[in-house]
Amino acid sequence: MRGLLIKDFYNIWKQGLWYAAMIAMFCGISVIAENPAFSATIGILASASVPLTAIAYEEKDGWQKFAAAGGLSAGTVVAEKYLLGILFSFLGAVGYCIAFAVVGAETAAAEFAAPLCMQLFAPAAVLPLIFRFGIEKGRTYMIALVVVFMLVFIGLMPLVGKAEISQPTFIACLSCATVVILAVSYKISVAIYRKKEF
Amino acid sequence: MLTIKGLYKHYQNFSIENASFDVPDGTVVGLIGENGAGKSTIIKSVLGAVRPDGGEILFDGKPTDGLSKAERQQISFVLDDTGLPAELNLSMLDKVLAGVFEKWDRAKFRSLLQKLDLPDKKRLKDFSKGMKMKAAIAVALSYESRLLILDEPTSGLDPVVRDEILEMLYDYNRESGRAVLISSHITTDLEKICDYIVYIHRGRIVFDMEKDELLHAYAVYGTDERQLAELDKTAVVKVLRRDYGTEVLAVRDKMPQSFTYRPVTLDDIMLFYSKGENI
Repeated sequence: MRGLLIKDFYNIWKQGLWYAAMIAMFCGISVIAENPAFSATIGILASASVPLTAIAYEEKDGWQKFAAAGGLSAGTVVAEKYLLGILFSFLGAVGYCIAFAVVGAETAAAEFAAPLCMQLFAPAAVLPLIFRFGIEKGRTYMIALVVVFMLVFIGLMPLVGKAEISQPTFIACLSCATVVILAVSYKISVAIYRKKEF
Repeated sequence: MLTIKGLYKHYQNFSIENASFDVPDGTVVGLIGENGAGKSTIIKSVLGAVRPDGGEILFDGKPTDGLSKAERQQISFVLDDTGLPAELNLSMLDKVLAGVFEKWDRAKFRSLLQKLDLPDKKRLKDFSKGMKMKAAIAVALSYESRLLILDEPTSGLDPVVRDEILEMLYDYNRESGRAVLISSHITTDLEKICDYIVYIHRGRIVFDMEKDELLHAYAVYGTDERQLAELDKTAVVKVLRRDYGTEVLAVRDKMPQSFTYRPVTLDDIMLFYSKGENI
């Protein structure tokens, strides 16, 4: 795992810096525009895109064959990509928290928690697709998935407004759902990766 | 050390069928065959990058798909495309692989880089093909393995680099309890270092023989159609008809002493099997 993380950081350090700069920039935009949504969005994008970039390098280099031959298990290889996504979601969360602290402190706690969970949800939704279809096709399916989620989200919004759930309950449910989705997504990715041939 | 028994792998337009051979301790086994014959599929099956549809692959008597990480890392490998991250330099690669291989020997890796004259601050994507292959071999030799598997390591390289690589394989195999499996279609390289030759043709193992015995047992004879008709049919392995004459790959001991012949090479054998006819 340590070796894989070091490799990915060497591979993607330029893109990593770029995303870090984008997170900082969008944090600034959120503060100026007094809207933390900008900061939340870039965090979601970074947590999904960084593992994808790392996988793209691996596919180009034929590293996955090397890793399999080197005795690295599917679980380790897959877990490292989730960890990479989670690390960048934390980076995004830092930017979002700063923006929220400055402009959104009076907003409801649920409104604060939802984007943070979305930053963890993003790699969970994207990685199984990428492991299944590879980077090229996976990106296309990813866009389709985003559209589906957006439609579902828009469709559910009126129901959420009417639902009488307390803030702590909502946050607890959301957090639990995020953890469960991450765990299920990881299991699915491992099952997909085990069947892959290089 | 390595045993392959009845290996079967089916693809849409190609199959490996019932491939069986051994890589005994202390030997170098050469896997030869035309492009697309199935050499890489067999090697990838051994390395766990491809899942066979049938048969067994045993390393020290244990199925390779049940090996622990430590056991699997007793098999080192050189892939045809190396598989190394192109954006990294060798100094970075050293740090990465120290976290991948349990018995990674950083001092040995450094000394191999020096010996092979490889720059450690230049990115792998800027290496020539020969340098990349030497780097891959340095990686394979830098953790304690007992079996070294190489897939087309000398393909596309100049004779000087090829010779250096063969020298390193020879050195590796000199230590006891080690073995090498090497695939190549550059058969002259294999003639220099191999103890056994396994020939695969269209997914099937045609023969698995000791190299010296193989090169002694067969010979190439120039004949015409009349002479060919008179020959012992069990002596003739394959016939190659060309515009300028007919050549026969035959068992030397069964051929008449009066026939002139030239010693067979592994290239000849591949050519006869891929283009020749039975009689």
